Amino acid sequence: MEYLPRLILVDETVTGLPVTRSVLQRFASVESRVVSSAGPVIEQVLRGRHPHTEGKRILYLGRHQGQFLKSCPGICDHVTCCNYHIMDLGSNCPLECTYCVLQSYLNNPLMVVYANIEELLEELDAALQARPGATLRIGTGELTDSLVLDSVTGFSRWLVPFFASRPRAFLELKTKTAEIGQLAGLQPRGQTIISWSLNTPRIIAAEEWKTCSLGERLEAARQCADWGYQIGFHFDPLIDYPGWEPDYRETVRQLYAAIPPGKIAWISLGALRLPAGLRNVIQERFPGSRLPLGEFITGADGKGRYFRPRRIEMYRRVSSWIREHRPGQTIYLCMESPLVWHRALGKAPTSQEVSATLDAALAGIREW
Amino acid sequence: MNLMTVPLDEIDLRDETCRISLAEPDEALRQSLQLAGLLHPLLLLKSSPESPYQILCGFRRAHAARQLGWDRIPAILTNAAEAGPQERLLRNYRENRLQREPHLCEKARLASKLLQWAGSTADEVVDRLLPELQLPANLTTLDRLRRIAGWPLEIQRAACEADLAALPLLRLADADAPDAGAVIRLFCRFRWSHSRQKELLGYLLDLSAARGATLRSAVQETLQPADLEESQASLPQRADALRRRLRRLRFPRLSEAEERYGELRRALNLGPQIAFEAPPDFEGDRYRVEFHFRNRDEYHRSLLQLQQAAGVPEFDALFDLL
Repeated sequence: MEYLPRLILVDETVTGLPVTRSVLQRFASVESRVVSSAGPVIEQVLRGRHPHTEGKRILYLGRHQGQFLKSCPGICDHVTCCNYHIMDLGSNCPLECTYCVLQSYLNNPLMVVYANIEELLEELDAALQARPGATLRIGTGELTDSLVLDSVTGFSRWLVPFFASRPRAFLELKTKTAEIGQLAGLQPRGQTIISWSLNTPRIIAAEEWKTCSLGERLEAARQCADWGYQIGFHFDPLIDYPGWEPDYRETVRQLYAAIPPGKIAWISLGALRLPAGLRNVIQERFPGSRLPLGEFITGADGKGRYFRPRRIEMYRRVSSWIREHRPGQTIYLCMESPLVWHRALGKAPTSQEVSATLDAALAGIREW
Repeated sequence: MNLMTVPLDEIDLRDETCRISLAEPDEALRQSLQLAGLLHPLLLLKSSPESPYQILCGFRRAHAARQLGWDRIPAILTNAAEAGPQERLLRNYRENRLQREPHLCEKARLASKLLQWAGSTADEVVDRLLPELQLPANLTTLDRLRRIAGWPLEIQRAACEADLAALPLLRLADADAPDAGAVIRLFCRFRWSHSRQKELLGYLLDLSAARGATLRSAVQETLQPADLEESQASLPQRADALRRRLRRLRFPRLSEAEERYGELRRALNLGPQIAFEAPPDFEGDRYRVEFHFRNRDEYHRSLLQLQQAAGVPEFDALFDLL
């Protein structure tokens, strides 16, 4: 998608940074203001009729305060986790997925890009040196789509070479776009995984507005595989609707028709989750969406989830279709309990075992 | 401002420009006036020497006094220079709030009158008024308040008298007046708590959306003759039956599991001293048993019951639900 803000706010502390210069040059025709704080603009947007929509049209170039590198917020006692790490290069997303958790999670409705990436790399370097034996999988797609603004920020051209020279650290860039232009010509050396969130064409059309089609995502994935990147896929959220079975089965078929199985490091599955508050936002912003009409119960984490037998059935089916194409495919569940793991995939590994499996999957691909 | 006694027939009781409250004078107020007199004078405005008095605060008191046949009533006088249109409305609202928390429909009337009559801008209302009303300060909320204020007065009054909760009403604001009226009448009839109102409105909205039908048809389809039959059961029983029916329609799989669990649980034939609980929404992986005892006999009796429960055929079926 082509992102074009109507206003750019530049925090006064990042005016001279390379990312800021690059973004302002790219959007030379857009009004920009240097500000000491985005607070007044945020307040103004929040009191409007469409804060989510309007906020995305204002790009704020700011400085990330505090630590960039964090543990995935999904880590908690009652679910099996993959020991993932995240670093936020920005927040919010110009794509319009109806179910996007950011709509109820973010206090700041603006499209935020942190311009101090050099400080991030310094922090990351120090963190990796402090854990010499550890393998870290680090993603940037927690609070935004990793690639949707990549042609504007050029972040991947900083990150991919950085990770290429750090064999114990892996970068995952998650996206629903085909914005892969900046990835060409880099030498990832197996340290960067480009992953796509996949869904059925019907869900993409109805619930993932402004994103790329399934075909475009798979074509972009194939191209990245050719460039030497590792590839991942996330069937997350899996959505329960009449006809989901043939649709997801066909999506899996198309995936394996497009991508050589050996290039796929992992596939994750996660049924739709609705944090408290998100349901109302979906109903207000996307009154035609049928997602909130699903049969949700409240999980131990307070999020709305499909009734457990239904989730298990969905995971079983989709994983079996994946394994029809590649029996040994590394599959993991996102934010599910050991019991669901056991019933859906026939095993209930610990978080440490899942983490080790994913690390091994990356190593396997490197040797492929 | 002057305190004086004003002839009631010089007050224009039909001019409700500044009236925010939806409450009508009741017997309690009349009795109070009879027994104790008027403890709190009206606030009246005299725009010009020729014009009748306009009530700024005290509509119910003035009407009650008229019903009691009073000729004169104590009042404080103000004039247009002292109280502009916005000030008049806000005084009315604030005086009402001294006695009780105004209902959302009354807040909606205030916001709407400020915009339509007092010349306030939407920005002024959002920035200054909505925080005072303890509502989210944004234009979306203001839009909803204006829609609520546009509902027929009888619907607003019913919502107010039945103390319908603010959150469900704000959600209902997106519905048209007939739909809102159908839900409000339903809630008035069954007198659910605020949390139940929120729950049930959610079911009705979802069911109508899922069927592509109006809210009022969802209400009509859900109601059964027995729900309205007072001789059939008490009001709480009928209200609970209706709630369970709506919940079953909204959550068929979960409801089926709950009913199955209920059947199996009963088959265990455990005494009331033993709590045997499934995990909430069957999301956990274990049942929970708790019992209380005061002596060795009670302890052994409970253990025996639990042991016997493990022997009935339904016991193993319980684990299929986890």
